[in-house]
Amino acid sequence: MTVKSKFTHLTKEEPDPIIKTLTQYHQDQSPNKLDVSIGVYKSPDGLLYTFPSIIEAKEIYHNEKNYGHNYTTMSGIKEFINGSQQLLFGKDVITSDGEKKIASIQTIAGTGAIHMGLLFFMEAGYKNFYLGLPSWSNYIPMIETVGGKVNTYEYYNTANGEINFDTVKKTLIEAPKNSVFIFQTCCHNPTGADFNNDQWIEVVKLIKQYDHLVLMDTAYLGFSSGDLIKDSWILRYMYEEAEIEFVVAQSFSKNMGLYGERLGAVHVIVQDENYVDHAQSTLVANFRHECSFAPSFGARLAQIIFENDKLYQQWTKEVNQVTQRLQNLRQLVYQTLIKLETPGNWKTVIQQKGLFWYSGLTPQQNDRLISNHNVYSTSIGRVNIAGLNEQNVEYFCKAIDEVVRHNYE
Amino acid sequence: MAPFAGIKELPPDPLFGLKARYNADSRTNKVDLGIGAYRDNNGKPWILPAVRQAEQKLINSPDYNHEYLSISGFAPFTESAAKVILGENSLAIKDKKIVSQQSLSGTGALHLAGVFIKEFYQGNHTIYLSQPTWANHKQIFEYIGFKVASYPYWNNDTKSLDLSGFLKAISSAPDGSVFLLHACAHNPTGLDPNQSQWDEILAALEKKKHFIIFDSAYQGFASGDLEKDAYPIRKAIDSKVITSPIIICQSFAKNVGMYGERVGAIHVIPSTVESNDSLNRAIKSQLNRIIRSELSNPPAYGSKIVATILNDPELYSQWRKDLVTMSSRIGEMRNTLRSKLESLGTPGTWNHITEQTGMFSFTGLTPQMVERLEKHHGIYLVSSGRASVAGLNEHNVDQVAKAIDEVVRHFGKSKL
Repeated sequence: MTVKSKFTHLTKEEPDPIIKTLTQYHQDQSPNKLDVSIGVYKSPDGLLYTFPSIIEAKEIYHNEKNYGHNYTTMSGIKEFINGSQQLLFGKDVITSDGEKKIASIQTIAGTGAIHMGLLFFMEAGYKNFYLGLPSWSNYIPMIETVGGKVNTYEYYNTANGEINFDTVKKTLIEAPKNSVFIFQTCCHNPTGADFNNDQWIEVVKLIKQYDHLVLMDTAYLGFSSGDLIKDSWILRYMYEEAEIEFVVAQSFSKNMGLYGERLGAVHVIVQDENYVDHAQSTLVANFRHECSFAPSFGARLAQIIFENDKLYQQWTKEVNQVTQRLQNLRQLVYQTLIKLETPGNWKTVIQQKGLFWYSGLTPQQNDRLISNHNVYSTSIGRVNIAGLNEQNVEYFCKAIDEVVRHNYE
Repeated sequence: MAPFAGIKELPPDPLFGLKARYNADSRTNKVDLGIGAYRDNNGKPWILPAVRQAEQKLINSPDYNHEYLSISGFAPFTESAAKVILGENSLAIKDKKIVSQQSLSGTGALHLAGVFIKEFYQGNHTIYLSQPTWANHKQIFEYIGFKVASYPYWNNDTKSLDLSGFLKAISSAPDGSVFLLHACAHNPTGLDPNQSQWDEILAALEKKKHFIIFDSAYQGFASGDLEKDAYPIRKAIDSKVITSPIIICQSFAKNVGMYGERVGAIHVIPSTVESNDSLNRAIKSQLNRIIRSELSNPPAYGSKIVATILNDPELYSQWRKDLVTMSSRIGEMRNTLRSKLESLGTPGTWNHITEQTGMFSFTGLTPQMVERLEKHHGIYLVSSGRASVAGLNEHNVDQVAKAIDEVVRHFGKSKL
């Protein structure tokens, strides 16, 4: 008996580009292969790094008398939510006037937070989204999935390795009122290029003047300056001084190394305290429809760190150490390329911040890095600096030198 | 002008409103029979011994880390989850007729199933839910854009399955409609079709070529036996009673006690009679696309615990014992409550309490009785009369029986 399937009209989707690169990497048999694609922090030995404060928190967690796997609440674990709010907005903001103009729920890491943030804007009737290019590749399908409209502009000038700030301003001025601009709080993915403080102040002024909204994707706190508080100053500025309303999508995948445990939060700043509950209930209802509850394990670990001052200080130091190591690696890459006299200007490697170096290499050059040198970057030329270490930097730089010098026809 | 000032506040979720009221209640003898979470005989959350052992094994593993899972989830988990639900010797698994993805527990699987069907299923986009059903089902599917209809299930007069009403609804629904079925331990009634009734239901569904979504949140909880509790799913799939597409939404919240870790899976069987590799890959890629755009990849910790249990013969055996422990205690509480009500001479018949299975009893109490139980006795039930039997224990069952007796007599009296 032959039955015609009702799913025959389905087309095969292309795999996510990064997953495709990773698959190629894992299938590569070469002992010299090098993975500098997906944004995951690694130890000097090239293995996934687990923060010592997380290891200690896990020990505390498993020895707790009342540990378990119970449901939490639909907003998430309260102590985690409080800690994540304080991390972004400061302890004073929570306590000074007793008023909290922040609606927050725990989410499925940063992607879940962005998804909930997008749904929130859509629910409130704001459907027009602006993305600076190049951007994280997942934003566009995420916006399209919720039915929003995607608009793009040039954020970063690949030719000169700088933010095209004039275009950013022009877009803010010309975009229709109530557009939602998606920005990254620090360590821009994939370019590593961030606004400086003066530029941020100007951006916020234009947002306010032209009545726009903002979604602040905050996935790399601490990886810019090494200081979690310094890296989130713009959020406190928006909240306290500029008094604008905005949404923050927060992830602990990188700065706590909790990647696969999916720890994140979404925060909505509502400047009229009478409506904070409205925002909160909207977030909870949307989350209930799709997930019911957020996973508890990662949130419990974060709670332990937030509530233990010694562990908290240890964690902030570890974030600083991670960031220092990334900066040292960037210097090493830069100096090695200079020494090799590799054609071109390589200052971007030390100007950019965070896990990623937007190398400026062409798709052909990146393909050649893979085929001739087993170096797995992304096709757009984004390099995960954390995939490098003192043992492989020279090999990596020589590979770049070769593909840059190669004559492509 | 505040851009968010126009948003309306939604009412609290009824189930969690109940929990909030319970938490705010200062009475020392209050009893929570609301949310369906297992409790031991001292009313405490219970970590299954198999889970404790699995966690120890995981922690001691040298390659344990928090690395991202793939978009599809943890492969040792999804593969073994499929085996648990379909059976070790499942033909559908051997013949590669199944696409499995890790999901955010049962709710995440239902959401994924809904989005997938809405976008790709060329049949009728009305979904039929049992009357009554789990409170969140309607919201999940309406939110995605389905038209929601219902089929008769619970006969309130006889406190039994309305089989003829059910079969009639299947027959009169347009061909190729979507039917959501509770695989076992029906929430909220606790009443399941027996095997011959399942055979009739499945035959009727096949005749109309309806699309079945099995919600399997309580495998092992209904009878204590994993195989028995998977009967309708295995009958539909491996016996090829159903040839239309089937989706299984599987949760490990209850049967492994993973509640807050959000461990579940979605299994898509596009056809039970033939396998189609390229179609399976297409389905998997579309599911990946949906997951990638909403949560990127699923949570690792809980899925590693469950995978450890399902793949280690000793832990698997311990888990089976743990399932018997939980389902036996719930069975005992059903027996005790019924016998106490009968001893008290409480008006009405109470045999349905022991005839139902799983975590819940659909008591038949009216909303007014439920309200009085809460206000006067500190006993918290869902307003539909659903009670979580797991909230009963040797220390409180007498109190609960007396309270039920009082409210039944109270409103019985007022009818006079």
